[in-house]
Amino acid sequence: MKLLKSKLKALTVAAAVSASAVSGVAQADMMKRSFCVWDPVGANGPLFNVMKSAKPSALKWGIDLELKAYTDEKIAAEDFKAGQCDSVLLTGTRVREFNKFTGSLEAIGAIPSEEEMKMVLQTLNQPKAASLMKSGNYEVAGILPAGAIYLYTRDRTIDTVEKLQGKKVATLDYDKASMTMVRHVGASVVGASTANFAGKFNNGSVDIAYAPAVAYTPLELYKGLGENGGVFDFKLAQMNFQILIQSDRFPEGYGQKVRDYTADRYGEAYKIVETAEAEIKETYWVRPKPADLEGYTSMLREVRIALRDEGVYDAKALRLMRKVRCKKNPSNAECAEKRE
Amino acid sequence: MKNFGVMKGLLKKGVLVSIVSLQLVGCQTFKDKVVYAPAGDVMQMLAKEHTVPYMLGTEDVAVSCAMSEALSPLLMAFGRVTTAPEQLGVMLGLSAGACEEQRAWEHELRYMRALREQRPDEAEDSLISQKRHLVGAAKRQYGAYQNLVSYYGEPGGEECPDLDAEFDQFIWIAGMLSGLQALNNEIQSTSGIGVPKNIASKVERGASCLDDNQWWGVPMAMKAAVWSMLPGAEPKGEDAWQRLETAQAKGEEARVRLPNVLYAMAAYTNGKNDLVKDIIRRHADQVKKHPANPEFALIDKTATIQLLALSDRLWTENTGHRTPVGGLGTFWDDKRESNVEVLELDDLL
Repeated sequence: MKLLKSKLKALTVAAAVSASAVSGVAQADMMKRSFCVWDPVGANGPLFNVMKSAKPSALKWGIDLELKAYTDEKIAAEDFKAGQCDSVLLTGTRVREFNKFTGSLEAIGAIPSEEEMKMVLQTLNQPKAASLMKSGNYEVAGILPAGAIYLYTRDRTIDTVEKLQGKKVATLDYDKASMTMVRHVGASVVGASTANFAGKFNNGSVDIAYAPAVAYTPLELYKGLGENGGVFDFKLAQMNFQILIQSDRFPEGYGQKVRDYTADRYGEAYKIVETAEAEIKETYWVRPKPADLEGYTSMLREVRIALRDEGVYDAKALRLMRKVRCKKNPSNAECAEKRE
Repeated sequence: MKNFGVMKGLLKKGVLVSIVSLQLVGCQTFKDKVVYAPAGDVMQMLAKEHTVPYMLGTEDVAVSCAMSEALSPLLMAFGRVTTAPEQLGVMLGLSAGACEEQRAWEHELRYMRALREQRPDEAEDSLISQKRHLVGAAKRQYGAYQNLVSYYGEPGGEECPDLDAEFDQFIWIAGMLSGLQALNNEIQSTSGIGVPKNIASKVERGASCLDDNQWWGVPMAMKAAVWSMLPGAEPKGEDAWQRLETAQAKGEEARVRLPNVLYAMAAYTNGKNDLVKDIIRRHADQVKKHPANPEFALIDKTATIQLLALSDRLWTENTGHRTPVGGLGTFWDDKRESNVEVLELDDLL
């Protein structure tokens, strides 16, 4: 009996020691890494909360993510650049300075519909595409669609590009592509940020603003549209959010795991976009004349090519998006010309 | 005796009328109109004139929450036979939503502990449970807001509704708070359940319909909280934080310290955790020193519970457990101060 007791005691001690050893290993293996999330609303905002949901999954991959909310996207990008954030969530356009390829996915007029956007995302989610996701020590660990960007005008009679001449457009001044585009159509640039463009549009200090549908209800863009305004039913670009990581701060393969995790959330993201687009009053939509569409498409293509030549857009990204467009519409003239 | 004869005659006529009515309108309609509808009107009056004021004077938030969950179907069902009790619907939805919110908090704390202990499956499961309850809370709170809209019209329109009676003003505040909470909980749940995303802007405007001084600084606190959270919402020349501080003082003066919750939420959303701690410290201190306004004790207690939830979140994140008993207003990293002299032990060792 005594022997049994002492054996049991020994076993208990052994079990306790091994349990603590195991948990010790787990503790030691776990990497604490920061994740700076840009969300215009802050820690109670939608983007921050979606990202927070990734914490248990990251834990399974050996990463203890510490989330920090940023309401100013510029500061989030700067902190990431300065190494104060191990990973960050930004809009595609902001990502351009870290990865020109993925940062060009928001290129003007490059992805005409959701269908093509889905094709681009799935293509880039393949492990084979990993090299395109890397640029120096930066790696894009996930892209989330945020829907098409539309043009909001206070005067719905502006229904052609020609009528944009001289009109004031709230323009994100850190985005060279937008500045070029606005100037190209003869409109005048009024510098704006994500925090103040809606105010400028709603109080009439600009005639035109551009934004994804998800901004329509929360920022009350219908106030600026009023009785006479309209939303031009032409997808100017496909907005997206991207997760960037400093590769050397994460284990090998982490980027692909996060990309797979993000890909599983495309459905949820599109549902949000769909709901937001349905909230825009039917009467606001201004349908472009079918005869004009081709002209717009080719004008945007010329601007894209010019921006590529200036070094703003990445040539490979433009080529990928051209291929995707041609997959859907092989008879397009651009498919034979292959200028992108 | 003569009177008796008259009464008999009247009764006879009454029965005759009833029989005729029954044949004319059918049994169910008769019951609805003659039995249930007056009962519903009485219930509504009772709730408005006595139950709500009585509950507001109590401190037991859990009882109020349980009552709202249990009685909602009974009271709201009267809307089938008489005027829909929309004003009560606002109160019931707000209060029943709070029950779900509290359940969500429990799962959130479980989620945090699981993360600390590096148990991802437990963390994931807790997060799912938390979100389910947040969806439940958001639905009830949005229901409350819809009742408000149905009765008074949408907040934030060109004109304010008729809010002459104090009761109307109170319902207006409750409905708008419900709207804000519905939106917040929907966002936290990362699910789309159809809460309109412009509620915040509408509430911001609708709050102007109330006298800020009469309502303990809550209307301005609502406005300023929205300014601090919604990009570009702050008007030129305004300072949301200054306004929230003023609202805090008004709440303290009235001993209905609800503005503190809005202040703390705004601070937390903006990552100002030191400010959150200060607000909680000050609230705990005020509650100890100055008992709640007896007329609105439930509101003051609700504010304390909301701040306790925020404090629990901070404590759990940093220590693995919630705020210690009686510890609201204290934090794990507080410096221990003592005025008691300590004796030298050297000669005893």
